Amino acid sequence: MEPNRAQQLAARGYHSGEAVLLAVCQELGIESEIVPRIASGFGYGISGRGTVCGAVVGSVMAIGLRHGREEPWQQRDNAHSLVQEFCQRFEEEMGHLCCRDLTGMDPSTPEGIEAQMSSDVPVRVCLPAIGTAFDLVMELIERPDPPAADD
Amino acid sequence: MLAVCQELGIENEVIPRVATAFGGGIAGRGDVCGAVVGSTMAIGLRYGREESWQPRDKAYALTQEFCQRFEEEMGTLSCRELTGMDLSTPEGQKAFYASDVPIRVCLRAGGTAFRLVMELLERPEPPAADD
Repeated sequence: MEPNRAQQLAARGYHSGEAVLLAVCQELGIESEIVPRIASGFGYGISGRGTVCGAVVGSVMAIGLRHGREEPWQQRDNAHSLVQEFCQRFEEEMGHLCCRDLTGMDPSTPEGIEAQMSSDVPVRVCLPAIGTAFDLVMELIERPDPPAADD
Repeated sequence: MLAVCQELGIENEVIPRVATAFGGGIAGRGDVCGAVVGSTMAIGLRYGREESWQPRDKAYALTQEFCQRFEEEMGTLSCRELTGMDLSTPEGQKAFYASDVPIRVCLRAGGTAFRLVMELLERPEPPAADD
């Protein structure tokens, strides 16, 4: 299958969070001087901590770009429910949200990152995670808004 | 994150929208605390990269230091562990807002994160190493 836009960016060396956020912005025609910089610290589960996968963080940011809020009194229900759906479906497809669980590796040391890079994990795990995240985000944010509920 | 941007004079139309859905440890899932995510974004704003061939070591090193010091002060990076509550249901959120956790834990986590990020971002650059 043809790699999607996020996977192509990852193949050029962007890490998961940068790749997904930048790809969604390119797809939506959002140009911003802070993209993908704002996502640079999320590689390897937040700079090597192995926590939540960068592709998930990049996706949550991307959903916020479309459905986030400017002011604290504005509602955020739509962003939250889309993110919950995203996380659930990502977990169904990939098994986990967490870098360490997805990869089965410890990225907290330079040796750990080197071991990961020389293994099949980037191709077997990270590229599919990035592709899945991008496809899910695009599907969710392009879905028409539900009709407003009468209060 | 909005606070750091205001402090650094960064104005951008995508802020704070880009951080909206990280409340409650990623939309209520109880994963990593939103203050930690916002801080990592803020470090990226200053030290992130535009192009994939540029280094990201500085952003990584600062984020690692941030996480370590946040963990020392607050005990954990996780929303669920910080709050001791389950924010994944409307009932859980109601219990959360009726408790002292928002003030006792979340305000302190936000304050700690902001103080640490500003300290890290304002620290003078070390002299460049000769290669």
